[in-house]
Amino acid sequence: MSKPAEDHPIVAQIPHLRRYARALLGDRTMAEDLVQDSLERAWSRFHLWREGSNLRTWLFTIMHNLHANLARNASRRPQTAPLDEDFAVPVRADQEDRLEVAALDDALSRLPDEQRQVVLLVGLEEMSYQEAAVTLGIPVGTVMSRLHRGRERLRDMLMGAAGAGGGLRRVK
Amino acid sequence: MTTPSGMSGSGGGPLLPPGDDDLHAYVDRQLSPERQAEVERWLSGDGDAASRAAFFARLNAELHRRYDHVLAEPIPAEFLPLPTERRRRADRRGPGLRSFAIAASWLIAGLFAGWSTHSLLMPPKVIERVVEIPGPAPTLALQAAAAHAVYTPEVRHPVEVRADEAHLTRWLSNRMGKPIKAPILDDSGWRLMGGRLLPVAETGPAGPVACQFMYEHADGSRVTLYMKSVDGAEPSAFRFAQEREGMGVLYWMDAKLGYALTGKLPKEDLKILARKIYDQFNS
Repeated sequence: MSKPAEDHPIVAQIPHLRRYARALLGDRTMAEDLVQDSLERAWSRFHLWREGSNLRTWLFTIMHNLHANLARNASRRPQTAPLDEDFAVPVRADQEDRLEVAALDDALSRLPDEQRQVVLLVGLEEMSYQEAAVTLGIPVGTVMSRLHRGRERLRDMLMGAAGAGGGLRRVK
Repeated sequence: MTTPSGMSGSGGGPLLPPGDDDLHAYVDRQLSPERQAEVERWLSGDGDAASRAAFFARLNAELHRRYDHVLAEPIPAEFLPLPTERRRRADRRGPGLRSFAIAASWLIAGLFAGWSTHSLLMPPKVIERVVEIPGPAPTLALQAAAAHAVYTPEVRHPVEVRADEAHLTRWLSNRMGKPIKAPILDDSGWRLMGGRLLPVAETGPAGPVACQFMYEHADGSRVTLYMKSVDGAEPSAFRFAQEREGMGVLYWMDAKLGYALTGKLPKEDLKILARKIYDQFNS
């Protein structure tokens, strides 16, 4: 690997694409495949990227489109369990103000894709609402309503019957 | 959802009463300072809205805590373009200084965005030199050496979960409560066999678990990397402890984990491996 490739602006975005894909899909292998497919497309089309425009949303849009194709194909098959068993094993009861890792993964996997995308682009990738709208090809108003529904739904799932104060119900 | 307000009210027109959009924009720091103040006033008088805002903020923090470790994973070669493709693209784009400058600024912006917000992942640099401490080795080194002695002679069950199982690091990360990576040492001739979870006698807020990765050389010799939670510890330099029968332990700490690399290797060889491990955890 020589210097030029490592210095490429796309390379600086790879960790972010991976983080988002990991959270979006909840599965390392699937996420890495999606990132690799997205990058192949990005490298071969980089000449189409307009200099000075937002490279990050350009890359995330490529990934979003590939993921949408994936999801369309997957929906024709019966749904498989989203996470393997190991992942659902509860970790130690953590400090009260922390969400249980397994519960967070589980709740995320239960969100509709369109809500999970927005929750993650904004909450994890720290995109502005405008950037999230560009990435997903939807109006900002739709970003806001999906964000709201997604977060409220996560709150229901994670805070659940135990109510406030960190008593997180195990959602299984 | 009913949200009458204008989010990120950047002036111009009277501000509407705050609503759900403002709650999110407040949490996501996407409000203008004036609107921010107004939303704060609203939240101080509305317990329900305040508790929802608190949950949304906590959710963002938890997403980072859960997934930021991915940022530090070394980038595999498959993610980079083939050399020929790279050359072709470079030809097409031409050698323009401008594109280089833009590329460089993106890289800097990317690095800044990546690291400034996640400085927790970047412990201070470990000092290069190896310090030899007289007297008995500390607990970390002793525990690592004990685990090494128990498991490396195993023929049938050297590891609990094999390296080719995708959930190895995810499982250990879950149980350790922090991102655990299995460093790749293939280019030094050490193949990752797998790993296991280990009990730790002492208890503390960090939880009584440690883990071990085992590596094997073509000649059959084995080294292990032992990791234990050391929440809030002072990052330390590489230190070396000589155990019995030519077994050495090279150990160090960052703010989250204590690491101990154990094997029947000269100190200098252990140090080269430890350096690679350190770099992979901090790349």
